[in-house]
Amino acid sequence: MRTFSLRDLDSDFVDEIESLDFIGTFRDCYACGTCTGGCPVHRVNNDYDPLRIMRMLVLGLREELLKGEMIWLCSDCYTCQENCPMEVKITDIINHLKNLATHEDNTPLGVSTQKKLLMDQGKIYIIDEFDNKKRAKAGLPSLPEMAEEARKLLNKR
Amino acid sequence: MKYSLFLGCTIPARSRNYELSARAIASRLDLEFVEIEDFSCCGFPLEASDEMGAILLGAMNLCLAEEKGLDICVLCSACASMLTKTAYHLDHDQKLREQTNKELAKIGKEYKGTVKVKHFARILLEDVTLERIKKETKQNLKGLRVATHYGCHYLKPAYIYEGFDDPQDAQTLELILETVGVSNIQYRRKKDCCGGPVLLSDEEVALKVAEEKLRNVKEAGADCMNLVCPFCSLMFDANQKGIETKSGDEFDIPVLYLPQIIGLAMGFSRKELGLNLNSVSTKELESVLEA
Amino acid sequence: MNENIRVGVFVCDCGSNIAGIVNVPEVVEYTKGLKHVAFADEGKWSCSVDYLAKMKELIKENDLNRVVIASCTPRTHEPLFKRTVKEAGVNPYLLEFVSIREQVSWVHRADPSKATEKVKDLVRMGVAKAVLLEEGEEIRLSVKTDCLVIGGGMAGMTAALNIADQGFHAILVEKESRLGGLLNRLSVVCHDHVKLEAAEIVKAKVALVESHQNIKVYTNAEIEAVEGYIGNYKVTLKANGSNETFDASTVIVATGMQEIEPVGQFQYGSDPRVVTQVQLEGLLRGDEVGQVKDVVIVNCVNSKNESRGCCTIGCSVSVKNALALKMLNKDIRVDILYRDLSMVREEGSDLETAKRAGVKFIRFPDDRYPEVTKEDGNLGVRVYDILLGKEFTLPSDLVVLTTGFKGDDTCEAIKGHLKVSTNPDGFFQEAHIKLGPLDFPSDGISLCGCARSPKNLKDSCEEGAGAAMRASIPMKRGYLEAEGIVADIDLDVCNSCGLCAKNCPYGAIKWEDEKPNVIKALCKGCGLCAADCPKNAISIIHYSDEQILAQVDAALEERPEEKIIGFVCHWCALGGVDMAGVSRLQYPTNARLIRVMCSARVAIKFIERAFELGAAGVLVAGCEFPTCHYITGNYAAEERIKRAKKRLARKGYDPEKLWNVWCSAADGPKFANTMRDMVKELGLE
Repeated sequence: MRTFSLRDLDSDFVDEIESLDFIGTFRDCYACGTCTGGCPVHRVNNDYDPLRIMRMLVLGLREELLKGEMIWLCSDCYTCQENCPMEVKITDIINHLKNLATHEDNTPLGVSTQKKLLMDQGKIYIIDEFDNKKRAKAGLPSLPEMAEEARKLLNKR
Repeated sequence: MKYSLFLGCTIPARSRNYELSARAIASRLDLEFVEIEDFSCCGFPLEASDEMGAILLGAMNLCLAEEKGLDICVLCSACASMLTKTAYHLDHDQKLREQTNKELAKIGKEYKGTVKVKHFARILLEDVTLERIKKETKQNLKGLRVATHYGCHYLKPAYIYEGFDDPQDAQTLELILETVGVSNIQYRRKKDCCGGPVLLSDEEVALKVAEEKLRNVKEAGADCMNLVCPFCSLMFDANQKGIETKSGDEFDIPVLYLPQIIGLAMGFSRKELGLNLNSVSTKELESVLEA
Repeated sequence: MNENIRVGVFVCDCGSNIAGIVNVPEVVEYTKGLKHVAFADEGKWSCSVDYLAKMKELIKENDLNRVVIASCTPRTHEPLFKRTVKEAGVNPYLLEFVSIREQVSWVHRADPSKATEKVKDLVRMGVAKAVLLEEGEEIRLSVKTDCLVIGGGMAGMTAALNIADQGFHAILVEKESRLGGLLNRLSVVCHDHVKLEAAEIVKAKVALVESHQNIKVYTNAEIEAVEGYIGNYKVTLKANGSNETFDASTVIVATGMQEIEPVGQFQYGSDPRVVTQVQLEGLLRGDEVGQVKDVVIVNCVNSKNESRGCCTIGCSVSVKNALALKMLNKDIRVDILYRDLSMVREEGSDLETAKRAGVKFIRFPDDRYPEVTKEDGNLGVRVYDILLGKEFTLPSDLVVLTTGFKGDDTCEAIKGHLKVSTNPDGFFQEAHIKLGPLDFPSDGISLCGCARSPKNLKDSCEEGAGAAMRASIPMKRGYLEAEGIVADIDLDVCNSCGLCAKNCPYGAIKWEDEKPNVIKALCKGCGLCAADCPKNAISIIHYSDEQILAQVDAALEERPEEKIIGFVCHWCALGGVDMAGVSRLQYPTNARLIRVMCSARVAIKFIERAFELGAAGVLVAGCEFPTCHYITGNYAAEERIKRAKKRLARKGYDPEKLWNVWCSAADGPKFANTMRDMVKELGLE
C-alpha cells in the first residue's frame, strides 16, 4: 500500500473550493456516510464512494481526486446532496471537481466529445433535412440545423 | 396560457414521441406553444467540463425567451434543471451575472431575469390544473398499474426549485396520473436515478443502475413505467433490450411519457401520441385498455 | 407465646389477574381452617382506596393482630399495605406478604387446579411465619450538621459551598497546598461558546470558599482515619505535620482523578515531544508551547478497550486544545486522530469551529492504532485512515496523547477508611448508576465529580451540588430512619468467636469488651452473620431462624417429594421472579419460594431442614455477580452453598439436588429457565 505523507497535501485546495460562493462549506461533514448509503452508483460499483470523495477533499488529496476516475462515476442524481444532514452540496462539489479535472486533461471521451459538438454546432444533434422531413410528416414544425447564436457565444470567449 | 417551448437537443432528434404527445394534449388543454428558432442546447452537457459555458448557454436561452416576453415550458428534466439553475445562480450571484452579461453582450444580449422556467408537468399541475385534465378525460384508465419514475433533475437540487414537490417524497406526477384513474404503484428504491449521466464515462455502471430499477419495477408488478425525461427514457426504453440481453432477465416493461398516458385517457390515437415510436411495444398495454 | 394470636388473611383477586386462574373462594375457605386464622376475606382490588378502608375496619372489627396479604408482589405493594395495617393500629412488622400473582397466576396459567394448590401452600407458609412475627420499629439516629468534604477540586468546593449556604458546616480537606484540583493544571475551559481561563475560575471559586464562615479548609492535609457511621463519624487528619481530630455527621467524597501515564507507548517517556493532554494544558497555560509546526493528537490512548470504557471527555478535550493551538498560531497544522467522536451539547459547536479553523480529523480503526515513528530524530505518526482506506505519515514536532483516566492515588486509602468500593477503573463505585448515582451503599456518604468517573467542569460542579443535597437531607431533618430489619445478638449464647465482626460487609459489628456489638445504624439486615454464627446466637429481626424454618415446614406439610423450596433474595432474585411473572413466562408449579433479604441469609440448616422433610430440591437465588445489594452477600452465599453440598453428601442426601442461580432483577427468563431445568433434572415432570 502506498503511504501518503500529509506534508505533500494541498491544504490550499480546501480553501480554493470553499471560496466558491455556490458551494459553501463542506468542513461540517462528520463522515456519517449517508451520502454513500443512498448512492445508486455505489450500490452497483463499490469503487465509487461519495464519502471518500468528501474525505479526500477535506484532507486536500488534490492529485488523487483530479487524476482519478472516481468523480466521473457520479451520475449527478443529487441523492447524496438532498440526504446530507449537514447540507453539504456534495453533487455540486463533485461537478466542480469534474471541471477542475478537465483542466488537468482528465475527461472521459464521451464528455469531451459532447463539448466539442457544442462548440461546433451549439446543440448535440444536428437536425438535417431528413429529420425535418420526418418531423413535417408527423405534423411537427421544422427546426434549424444548428444553433448559430449559441455557437458564436461559446467560441467568442 | 402561452409558453415558449424549449425542446433541447435530444427530444427533436430522438424522442419525437414525447414531443408529439406533449403537443397533442397541450392543444386539447388550451396550452399554446410558441417556437423560438434560436433555442440551442440548454448547457447541461457542458456542466461537467465547462461550467461557465453551461451557464452561458443557459443564460442565452433565457434571454431569447425574455425577448419574446414568454415564460419557458421545458419537456426535458435535464434542460429544466439547467435553465432553472442558471436563473437561480444569476439571480443570486451578482458577480456571476456581470460576468455572464459581459459575454452575452458579445452577441448583443443581456440577461434581465424576467422569465420563469417550468417543466411541462409542473405547468399541467399549476396552470392547466387537475380539474381541467379531468374534464378532458374520455377514457378512465382504471386498472392500469403505473410505476412512476420521477428521475433526478425534475426535482433536484431542491434549492433551485423553490419548494416545488419534495425530493424525499415526490407526489406531483402521481397526482396528475390519479386524475385519469390509473393505479399508482409503489416499488423499491423509487427515488433512484436512471444512471443516464454515467453513460458517457462508464456504460457498464450506467446500465447496471438502470437494470436495478427495471428489476424493482417488474417485481412490483407494474404494467408500465411513467416518466418525464428523454434521458430516463433512453435508459429504460431504448436500452431495455440491451439490458435484457446482458442480464439474461426479461423485463418487457413498456415505458411511457406522462403525456402519452394522459393522451390515451383523452382518447388520442396511437399515432397521435407517437406510441409507435416507443422501443418496448405498447400494443399489449393498449389492447388491455381497449378491453 | 402468651398473646392470643389472631391472624387475618386477605386474598386479592386482582380483578381477573389472580381470580381468573386461581380459585380464590376455595383458598379463602381453606385459609379459614388454618390454626390461628381468625378471619379471611376475598378482595376484588385489594389495593383500591375503598378496599384499603374496608381492610382497616375489618382488622379492627375482628381484633386482628397479625395480617397476611396474598396478592401481587412485596417489591411494589408492601409499603402500601404496611401503612394500611399501621393505620389500623397493627405494628407494620406484623404484616406478612404472600406473592400469588407474579409467582402463581401469571406463570401457571395452564393449570388452575395446581395453581390453586400452590396458593394454599403459600398462604399456609405466610400464616406460619405471621404467627411468629414480632413487633419491630424503625431505628432513628440523630444526625448533626457537620459534613466532611474530601477533595478541594471544583466538585468538592461546589459541594462545600452548597452545604455551607444552607447553614450547615463543611470541613473541606485538600491534600495539595492549594484548592482547585485538576483545574490548577489546565489552561482554558470552554462552555456555552465562552472560553474562560481555568485559573480565573479557580480564583473565583476559592474566594467564595475561603470567605465563607461555614467552611473550614484544610490544605496539605491527609485523612488518617474515619470511624463511625452516619451522624457519628470521628475523623482524624494529618495537616501540616500534626494530627487533628473532629466529628462529622456526613461525608462527601470528591477526590478527583488523574491521567494514566502511557509510559512506554507511542515513544512517551523516551521523547520529550510526546506529551499527554494535561501536559499540553500545562504548556498552554505557561505559554511554553514554543515554535511547533505540526501537532498530531492521538485520541483513545488506553481507553475504550477491553479493560476500560470510553473516558467520555477525551474527544472534547482534544478538540478544545486543538483550537487553543490554532488560536496561538493559525499556521500550526493540527491533526486529530480519532476512533469515534462523541461530543454532545455545546461541545459540538467547538467541533464545527475546529473543522473550519482547518483542524484535520482522521479516523483510525479500533484494531489498528497509529504508530509514532522516529527517523533521523524526526517524529512522525503513521495512521491508517479508515474512511479513505489509505495510510498516511504525518510529520510531527509535537505528539499529544489523549489518555484514559483513573481515580486519584488517594482512592485506595479513602476506600479503606470509609469501607466503600471502587470499580476496576479505579474510580469510586456508586450505589446504583441510576437509582443512587451520588450515593454509596452506606448511608451518610455521597460522592461526586471525577472521583466517580471522568467529567467536564460543568458536570463536576453539578454533581458537587447534587452530592451536597444528598448529604443535606438527613442533616436538615436531624435524624435518619432505618428499617428495623437488623441483627440481634444474644450475648448469653455468644462464645466471642469474632466471626460475625470479621465478616460483616458494613463493619456494623464492633468488638467491644471481648463481645460483638451491633451498630444498628450501620447494620442493613442482610443476615450473613446470623447464617454463619456457629452458636446460632444471632437473630435477624423479621427473618429469624424460627420464622424461616416455620415456612419450610409449612411448605412441605403435604407431598414434599413434589416440591422445590426456593430461597430468593428480595432485591435481584425476587425481581427476576417478578419479571418472569410480568412477562407471563410459564414454568412448572413445583416451587415454593421463601423471601430473604439477601442470599447470604440462607443458613445451611434451612437447606438441611428441607431435605429432612423430603423436599425434591432446594434453590438458592441471589443477585448476579458482581453486584449485590449488600455489597458481597452473594459471594458469601456461593461459598456457603459449596459447604452445604459437602454437608448434605455426608448426611446421605444428594448434593446435586441443591441448586443456585444468580439472576438480575431484569432476568425473568433466567429464573423461568432455572425452574424448568430443575423440574426436568429432578425428574418431577
